[in-house]
Amino acid sequence: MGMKDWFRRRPSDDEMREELEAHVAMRAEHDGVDEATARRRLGNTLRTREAMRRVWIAEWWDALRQDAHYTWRSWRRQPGFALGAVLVLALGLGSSTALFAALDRVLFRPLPFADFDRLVSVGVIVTPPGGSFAGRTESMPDRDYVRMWNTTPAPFEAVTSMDTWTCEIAEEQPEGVRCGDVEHNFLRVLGVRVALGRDFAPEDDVRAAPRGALISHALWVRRYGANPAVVERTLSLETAKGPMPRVPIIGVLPPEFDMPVEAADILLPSQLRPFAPAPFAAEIMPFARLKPGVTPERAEVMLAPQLSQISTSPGFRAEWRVRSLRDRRVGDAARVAWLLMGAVAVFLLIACVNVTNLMLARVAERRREFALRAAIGAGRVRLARLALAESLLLSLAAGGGGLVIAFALLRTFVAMAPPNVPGIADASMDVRVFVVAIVLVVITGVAIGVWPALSVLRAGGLEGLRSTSTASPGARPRVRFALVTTQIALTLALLGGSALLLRSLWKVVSVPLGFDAEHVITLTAGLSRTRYPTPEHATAFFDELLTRARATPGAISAALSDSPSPPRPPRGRIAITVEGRPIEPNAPQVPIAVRWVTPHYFETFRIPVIRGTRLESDGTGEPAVVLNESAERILFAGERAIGRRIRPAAFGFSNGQEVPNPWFTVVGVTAAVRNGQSLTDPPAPEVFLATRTGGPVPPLGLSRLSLRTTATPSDAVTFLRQITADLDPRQLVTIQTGNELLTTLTARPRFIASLLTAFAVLALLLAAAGLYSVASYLVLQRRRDIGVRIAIGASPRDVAQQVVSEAGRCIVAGALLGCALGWVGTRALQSQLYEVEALDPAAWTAAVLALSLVLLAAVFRPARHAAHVDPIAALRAE
Amino acid sequence: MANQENPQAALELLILKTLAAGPNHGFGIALHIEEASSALLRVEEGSLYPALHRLDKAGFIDAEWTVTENGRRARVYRLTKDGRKRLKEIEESWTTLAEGVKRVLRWA
Repeated sequence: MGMKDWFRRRPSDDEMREELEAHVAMRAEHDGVDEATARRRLGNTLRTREAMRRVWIAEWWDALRQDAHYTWRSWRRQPGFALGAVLVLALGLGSSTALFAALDRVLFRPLPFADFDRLVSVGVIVTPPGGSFAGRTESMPDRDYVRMWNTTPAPFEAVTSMDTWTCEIAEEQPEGVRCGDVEHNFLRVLGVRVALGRDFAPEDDVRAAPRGALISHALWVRRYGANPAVVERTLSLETAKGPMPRVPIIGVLPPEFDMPVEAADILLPSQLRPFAPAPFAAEIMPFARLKPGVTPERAEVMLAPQLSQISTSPGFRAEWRVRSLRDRRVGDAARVAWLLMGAVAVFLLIACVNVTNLMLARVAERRREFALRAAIGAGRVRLARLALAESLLLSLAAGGGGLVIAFALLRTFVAMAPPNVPGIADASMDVRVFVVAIVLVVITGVAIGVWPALSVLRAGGLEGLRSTSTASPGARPRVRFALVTTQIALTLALLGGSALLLRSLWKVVSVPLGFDAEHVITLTAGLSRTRYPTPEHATAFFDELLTRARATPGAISAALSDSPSPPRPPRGRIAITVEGRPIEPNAPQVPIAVRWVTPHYFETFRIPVIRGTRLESDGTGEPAVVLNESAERILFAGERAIGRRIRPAAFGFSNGQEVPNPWFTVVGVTAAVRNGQSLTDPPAPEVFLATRTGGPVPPLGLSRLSLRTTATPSDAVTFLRQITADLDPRQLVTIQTGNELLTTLTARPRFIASLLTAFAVLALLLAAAGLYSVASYLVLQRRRDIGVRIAIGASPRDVAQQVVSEAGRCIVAGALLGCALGWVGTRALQSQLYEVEALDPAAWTAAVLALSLVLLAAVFRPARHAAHVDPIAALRAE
Repeated sequence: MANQENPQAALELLILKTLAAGPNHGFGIALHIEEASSALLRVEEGSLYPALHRLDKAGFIDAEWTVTENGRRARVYRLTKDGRKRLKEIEESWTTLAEGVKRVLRWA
């Protein structure tokens, strides 16, 4: 009895109470007694209500248990089905969950600032004449910021600004950290309170006022053992410009605090006001809180009239950019994240379609069983509910398996992820991720259960009992064909996408770099300012290291530099003056990347010098510089550069005094060498300044040794470690081979391509399995027809061909639909493709070919079965 | 029916039979049973309502909130098609049982 009670409405507790109260009132009225007496007659109303409630709950629970029990028994009879379905779904759910966990911080998780959606990054983007600096972010020259925004501009409630730089805590245990210059209102604009001590006050932020420092929670714990007495202790800071006067620590930032962009362990007041003009403007990063209702786009429009006040060199174009803080932090990574989310969603969908198909096959097999059950009294609704319960249980089991997969996958994602995905290192399976996983499990369970449940409703009729195994293919096979077609279409879209990404990855990997990093080993040593207090000490260390490196077995050439090896950009960008060309007053020059190198650098990296000479080795003449082609173009605009002189803006400091740089003579021009943030960025202008004994030294100090050698990489690493240990056993170094560096640089396209390819290959296998199952079912169902056809003279070939052509129709329809899907979907991919069109014919042809081959292979067995049907046996089976 | 010994089955029978005469609310049902049995049977009011809800959930009766002629809101129950069938079944088996018991008692 009661098979329909799943759908009966449960009265609410209020209704139950009201019903009993009505009874008491009627009894009192009828018997002419007061309500208390009437209530006593009813007995303990609390207990009665409890009994009423239990009527509804207990049986609901019982039914659920019954369904679960029944499902479990049927799985044990067919463990293959259950295992297959759970595995397929677990893969889908696991990869979705892991990807969500990895990308939550990029896409969804709220930023740790009050009302963060009104926080924006503001600034101008300056484009040089006839070109663009790829990957430039918005900023403002500090003098323009101070001059123009003394009063807060109209779109904003408040503005603030920051900048970060490398510094060192020059105390007993020296430690290299990041320092940040911020305005006094910085934390208040972000809506953050200090955890300890006090925030900056306006009087801290006045030029030449005594500074105080705020330190990060992590630094407080790491360096001061979370001691509250840290406030009013002082810090000795060493900057690139020399030591700073000791600063008292005035407060500690909260543990969850995170800089809007970049990182900093120590915040200092930037003291921009009153503004003291410097020969060259510094760029700062302004942030603002929008007034309620103002969008970033609107703010850009409102700021437009101020654009003319921004100082730019003639011919340069400037434009405002206002964008949400999340956009600024995440940037391009958001696009990649959405792309991967889309791919994993498609994959999960494919997994669902696949399992739905399996379940429909089971419903078809058990059609007679269902019809029989319906005939002996099980309501169809009850049977449909059973199907739904089965799908939910499948999904639940898959969710459990999926979590295990997700844990493993997340670790892989984090290890593989390109370095510029913000927050991915902190990604973990936390409560948010579990909630999402549970939601996915429920959605999946319902999604895969609805169709089978409907089909049970239909199969429940008596016609199901009457029909035999030879029944003509009814609605269900058609549905199943449609599902397989959908699956094929989605699979082709994934395959096409991954083919495009793989082609693009191939192009990225084979980009002409302009140098040869194979057989080059680079050693990086950050020298402590305490043990190497002057540039002379550091230079002595590196000179000695260089001499010893050249003496290692197999060494061909070695050189020193202040910057990471190409294709990484150099550490410094600086304005450069050309001799004989007047400086525009109040106009910042084009900042150009500056790499300090010793002679032999070009040999070591095999950078071709196309004009002039390489830096003369051990030359002691006047300071020399080599330009790359685009620097030559920007600085000399087609004029002959060799023999002319240029001067980088002053950045050398000595005793707190700026030391102007000398003039450097251009001795050579190199071909384009990649030096952008990614391998595919076109080469940016760059100058190679020669460091020579007795000549000018790089302001940030030398930090790298590069060695070209015929020794094997592992031998070379051992040699370099040995010579460093001989020289200074306490010095820590990192050693990287040229190939390792290139691998990290291609991490992003590699990551996207390998993820999408993995999804595509799995999807292809699932599609093959789906088609195989439908084709097999079809052959089984038509055994009699096939038997008759063979009996009247059809050849096995004809029969097999028919199966193949029917499956072929599925493949063609799926492929066409898939191409259409891909045509729409891969637009989103275009931004991640390098020199490959989203509609690249080669990639799509490859995808279609791979799809067809695998799917036709899947049909092979069912077709052979059909060909081998024994007509007599098939007809007798009736 | 295995649970005929169960006093619940008797209560169920009385409720269904009462409702066969027309829709009624809980108090009306209790009253009708007392009056029809000439006060021989007195309904345990505490178990009447859980029984009603059990029948409601099983689909033998439907419940609806209506206003009585006294202008009072009451949850009124009405027999469903399934309920009518069910009533016939248990009425038959109950009469058989009662007849059997009567005969045994006569012989004792």
